[in-house]
Order: sequence, then C-alpha cells, then structure tokens
Amino acid sequence: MDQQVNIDLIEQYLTHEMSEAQRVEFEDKLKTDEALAAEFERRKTAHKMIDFMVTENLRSQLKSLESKDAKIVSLQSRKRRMYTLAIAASFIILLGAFFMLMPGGSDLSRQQLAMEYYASPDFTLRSGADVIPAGIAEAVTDLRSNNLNSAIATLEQIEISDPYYVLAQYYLGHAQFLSEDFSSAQASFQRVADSNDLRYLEDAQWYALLSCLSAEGACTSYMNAILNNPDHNFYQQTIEIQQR
Amino acid sequence: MKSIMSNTSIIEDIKLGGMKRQQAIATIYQDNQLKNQVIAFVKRNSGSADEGIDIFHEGIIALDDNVRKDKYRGDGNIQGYLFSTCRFLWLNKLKRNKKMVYTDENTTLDQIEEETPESLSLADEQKAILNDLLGRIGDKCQKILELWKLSYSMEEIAEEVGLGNAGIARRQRYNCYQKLLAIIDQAPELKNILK
Repeated sequence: MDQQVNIDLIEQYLTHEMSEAQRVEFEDKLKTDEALAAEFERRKTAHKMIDFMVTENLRSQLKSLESKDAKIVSLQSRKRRMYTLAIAASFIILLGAFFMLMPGGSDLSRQQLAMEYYASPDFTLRSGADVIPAGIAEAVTDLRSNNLNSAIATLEQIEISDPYYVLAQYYLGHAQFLSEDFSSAQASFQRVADSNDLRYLEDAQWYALLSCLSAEGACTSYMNAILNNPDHNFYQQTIEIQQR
Repeated sequence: MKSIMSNTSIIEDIKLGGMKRQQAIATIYQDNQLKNQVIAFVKRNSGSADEGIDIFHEGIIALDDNVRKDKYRGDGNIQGYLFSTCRFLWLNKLKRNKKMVYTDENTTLDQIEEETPESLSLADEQKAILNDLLGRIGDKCQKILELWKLSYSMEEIAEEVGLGNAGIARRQRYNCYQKLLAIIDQAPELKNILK
C-alpha cells in the first residue's frame, strides 16, 4: 500500500477519527502488515509524547491557578493581548507611513516589520523542570499582568550561576521587548542564544533578530544564523522579512 | 460557587478542544463544592489539604485525558465521575506508598476501575527524559504540536504562535512533527518509558 495512505490511516486512528468498523479493520491490518505496524508504533510514541506535554502543561496551569487563585489563562485573554499588540502595531504602521514620507524616515519600517512578526509567548512556566524558582514564577506572573518593570527588575537579579539563568534571560528579553527597550532585549536574547540551550536556541535567535530590527541595528548575522538552517522554526518568516 | 453537576456540555466542550476545552476546564476548576469534597476525603484518609488539592488537579487531568482519548465512560454526572476518579487516585497513591489505608466509605481499590493518564504513573526521572527530548524540538514546535493535539484550527495556531497564516502553520506543524519523529528514532529508551 502507498506509504502516504498508510500514514493517513495511522493518523486517523491515533486522532480518533475512525468509525468503530474502520478501527477494527485497521487493527486487523496492523497484525499482518509489518511496515504499517512499525510506522504505527513510531507515530503512536509521538502522540504519547505530545499527550505528555499537554498533561504537563495542564498540571502547570492548575498549579499556577491554585497558587495565585487566578482565573485560567484563556485564549480570550491571549486574543485581547494580541488585539492590543495589533493596535500597537497598527499605530506603528501608521506612524511608519508618516515618517517614510519624511526624508531619512524610512528606517522606522524595520521596527514596523519586527512588530508585525513579534508574538509574546504565553508565559506558562514550561521550562522542562518540575519546580520553578519563586523569583521566576513571580516575574512570569508580572509578565502576564503586564507589570513589565517589576518583571524586569526581578529577572535581572537572577545570576549567571543560577541553573535557571537562561530561562530568566529568555523572559527578560520578552519583558524588555514589550517595554520597547529593544537594545537590551537583543542583548538578553543573544545571551540565551549563546548558551546553546536547545530548548530556547531557535526562539532566541528569532527574537534577537526582531529586537535587532526594532533597535535599527545591523542584523545580517542574526538573519544568516536562521537562514543557514532550513529546518529552523522561523526559517520561513525570516525569508519573508528578508524579501520585504 | 456554581456546581458542574448538571453541566453536561463540559464533556462535549473538552472533546471539541481549543477554546471550548479551556473554558470547560476553567468551569471544573471553579467548582469549589467538588474540590472541598475531594479535600475532605483525602483528609479523612491519611492525607493533608495540600495533597487533596493535588489529587483534585490530577482528577481534572485524568478527566481531560480520558475524554480526549475517547475513554470517558461516565453517565454525564461529571461531579460523581471526578470524585470517584480522585478517590481512586488517592487510594492508589496510598497503596503505592504502602501507607495504612483506612477508608470511611464502602470502597476498596479492587472495586474501582478508572483509566488514568500515562503521565500520572511516570517517575520523575522518566518525566525528565521526556522533557529533555521534547526540549530538543524547541518551545515553538512544542506549542504548535500541543495546540494541534488540542484540536485548534490552523488559523488559531497561526494566531496563537504568531505565524503569518494557516498555510505557514500547517507547514510548521509538519516540520515540527517530523523533528519529533526524528528524535523518537534516536531514542530507543522511549519504548520502555511510554509502554
């Protein structure tokens, strides 16, 4: 059977999109088709890993809610934040259009471009660790509440010797970016990228590029770091930025 | 505080995923009556209030997991189902820890059959391995795959993750999934962890 057909069947089975009769037929086929069974096991493991991620994230959310007795972070609040960001971006676009008409005003379009692509993470405390230090948890709560200065002050105190330094720098970069201190954000994201921590590397490279663009700096090295890796999470967006 | 006793749409909302699931979980979480029942049960059976809260959370996680995987076999009384799940989880924990089990109710572990999510039985070191492996695909990919698993549309994923459009989100989802499969190929120990 065609490999793509097999993959489609496996995914339908694993995402519960089959009828009972189709499930039985598929399970019978698994018993006789070794290649299908091997690919099924591989993808079943992938789904289990994603399920693990979903569960762990839900657990973190519930713990966070419990400790703060706050309401669950919903898409609505995210949308509101995105909406605010969109308004800010629109304002910058308008401002950019105005300045682009002025002599020497075209540089603002780089900040406008960066703002179009920037999306803050949801600050859900996913660090790959079971226990998040109180300082970082406090800063993340501040980030959620848009208390940026407080978050920055807390995160700047996390020292390089701290095992959570890289995570702190990553959040610090976002807090600084949202405060429009783009040069500081660029430096923070650069420190994260320099740490070579695979959990944050690609995100840090991307946000360092956006910070650099917003700070109107020389950003070729950031762009090249991403474009040299076609598998990079932000490869496509970087190509779009380059073209624009 | 309102009770979820009669809210039968919660199961459907969890199945639908996305924003609906978020709201459903928020509704369950806000059911203080049920939460207090769970805490009281745990306290009556060799536990503390904090342990009761943890078990309440684990019960919500188990319900969410069972519904999403089509394993939910409740009769629509979510409060009863959740309480029974929490009771099972606590008694099972006591048994695992070889603590004296005294229950003031006519229930023994053998009488309770509940499906519990795999992650509830994973040891800390196994979780650390999984977190490490997942970390290799990056935060962005984790988020994309998680949203995909939770039935968010590609448009919603694009918006949530800050991608240009649904097409880009679809390609990113594919790339992230391929990255995860490549990691799985290189990690034979996963077979033992995720049996």
